[in-house]
Order: sequence, then C-alpha cells, then structure tokens
Amino acid sequence: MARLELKTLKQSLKAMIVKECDKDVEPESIRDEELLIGGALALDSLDALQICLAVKDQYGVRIEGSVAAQRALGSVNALAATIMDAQPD
Amino acid sequence: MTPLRIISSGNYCEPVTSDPPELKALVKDIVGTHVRRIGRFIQLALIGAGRCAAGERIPPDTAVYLASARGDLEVTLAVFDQLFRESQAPKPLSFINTVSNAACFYTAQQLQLSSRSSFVCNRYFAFESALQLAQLDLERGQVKAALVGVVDVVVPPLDRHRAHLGIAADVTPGEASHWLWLGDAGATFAASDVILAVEQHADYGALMKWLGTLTLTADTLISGGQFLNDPDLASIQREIGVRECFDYRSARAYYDSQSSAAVGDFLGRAAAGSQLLHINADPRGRYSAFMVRKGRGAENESG
Repeated sequence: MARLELKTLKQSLKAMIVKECDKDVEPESIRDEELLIGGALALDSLDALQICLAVKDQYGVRIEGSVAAQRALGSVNALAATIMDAQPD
Repeated sequence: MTPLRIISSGNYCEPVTSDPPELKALVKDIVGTHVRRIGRFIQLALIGAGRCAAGERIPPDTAVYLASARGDLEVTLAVFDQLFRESQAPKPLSFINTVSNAACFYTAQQLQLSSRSSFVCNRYFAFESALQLAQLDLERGQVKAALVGVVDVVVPPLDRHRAHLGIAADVTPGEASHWLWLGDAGATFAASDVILAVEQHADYGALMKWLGTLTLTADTLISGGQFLNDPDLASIQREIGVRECFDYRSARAYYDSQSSAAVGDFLGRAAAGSQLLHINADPRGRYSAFMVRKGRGAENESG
C-alpha cells in the first residue's frame, strides 16, 4: 500500500472508530499513535469488539483473540498496519 | 388504593412523516452530556425522563418503571435483519441494546437513581401495566417514589412501520416518551395532582362492578384508550352517568401507548378539582382503567 493510501486508510479508520464507538470527537483529533483502548479516548472492551467487527466488514480482516486485538487496537498506526499486513501481495 | 401524588410529568411526542429527526443534540441539551452507544429508544427515554425531572434532583431511591408496547423496535429489527437477511453476526452495541431494560439503565444512570428498575412490554396496556406495578410497589412501601414512563419509537420505512402497527396508509405514526414522577400523596392530597385508581379487569362485568363502587363527581370526565371502541366507550359513559368525554387522541399521531398521554394532557387542560376516568381494552375483552384528579392548589405542568 503506497504512502498516500496509508494516510487515507488512517483517516478512514479514525472516522470509523468515531462512528462505530459513537464518540463525540472529530476524527482528526485522534492521533496516529494514541492508545485506543484505555487511553484518552476512553474506549472499552465493547468498543474493541465493535471496531473488530467493523474492520472485518469494511476491510475483510479478521482480528481474532485477545492478544491480536490488543496489538491491533494499540493505536491507529497499529490498526492500519494490521490491515496492511493482511492484504494480499 | 392509596392515592399517588404526581410530582411532575414530562413528555416528548412528535408525528413522523419522513425520516425521524436526529435526537442526539436534544439528548445532550437535556441530560447535559453526550450519552454514547444508545439508539432512538433510549434517546427518547432520556428526553422524556429528563423533561419530567425538569432540572430537579430526583431522590436516588426512586424506582424506574418503563413500559413499551414493542420495546426497542429499532435495534431489534436491525439485529434480526443482520442475522437473518444478511447472515452476519450483529454488531455488539446493537445486540446489547436489544435488552429493553437497557433504557432503564441509562435513565437511572443519567438521573443518578440507584433503586430498582423494571421494563414492562405489553401491547395493549403498556402504560397502565407500568403504572399498576409502580402503584403496587409504592403502596406496599417497597419504593418511596417512582418514575413511570412509556416509550414508542418509529422505525423507517414508514410503510413497514405502519404494517407493524396495523394502521392505514393515511395514518401518521408518531414517536413518544411520556413520564410521570410519582410519590406518596400524604398530607398534600387535596392540593396535589393525584392518581386515584389503577385497575385491570378480566371482563366487562368486572369493570362495571368496579365502576359501580366509584363516587364520580359532576366534574368527572371520561376518556377511552385507543383499543376501546367508541360504542363501548359510549355505553360505559351512559351507564355510569358521566356527561363529558375528554379527547386527547384525535389530534395525536399514532403510537401504541397513547394512554400515557391522557394524564399529561388532562393535567394541562383540566380545571382544578376535576377528575378523569380513563378506560382501555384489549382484544381479549380485558379492561384497564385509571383515574386522575387535578389538584386544587398544584401548579404542575404537563411537560
């Protein structure tokens, strides 16, 4: 995935997080490296499940198991990397 | 029964002729914060209950009784569509809110109430059932005050919604959230707006027997719920000798729990000291009734 696409992916993920978790913040206010679960955004395990299902629906990427979810939902950077890594070459 | 004091009432009631209006901003305005992960059903509950509280601090030991004819139809239909039409797992946030008591949880949370909460689903006597449950708990001293509400939500498309409700294409459906804050009338009985009676009867004979025990003053009005047909209302009115009907439904959009609007409308429009006898029926021939009296010294608003 090219550099520009990565930037677009991160913007899309931020918008998705705001929509799926019903957060009253602007997507662009979420920093790329910001901790998603348990951080300033105050997302919880239910939000994590919601995001994982949305990622599966929109990007076809399954995030299964608590270890994988913890890693993928570490930040927008981590989530984008998880999606990119799952793309076919 | 021991009369129940109506401390306040509040409501939201709007016809829906296209897509239902966005409610997020209104909820935020009323409860003072953005409440996330809730759908229209819970939003409507918060709006109605918040208007009923009207900025007052409701005592934490107040119980919540919420009723609806069909529950949270919006999330239930969404989850069913996802499961059975799209063969997909439902979204977690939709799935948890299919538990209709979720609306009670959010209402109690936002109003900082810590007593019991109950959700009642009843197609024909939604409001009446919640009111009776609250009355029984209050009378037995199990709770000191009660917040009694009903919520009905519209789920587009409107044609499908009308089909769910069994109403004609020219009938305008509506969304509603009607709430009463009830407590013991005690020494304030004469001055207060009060619920004088809440009754359910197995058949017409039992209803008429109960009505025969009532002392109806000259300024008693009668109203029929939406499931009581007009000839039956006229017959009851004639038999008990009540002169005037109270109309709260003819200009109202259609929703399942219209009975709940009778109380607020009556208190808003009736003369001090007058009484309303409200009777509703279901298709199995059962009847539900309640009586309200407008207090002589109260300055309650209908919300």
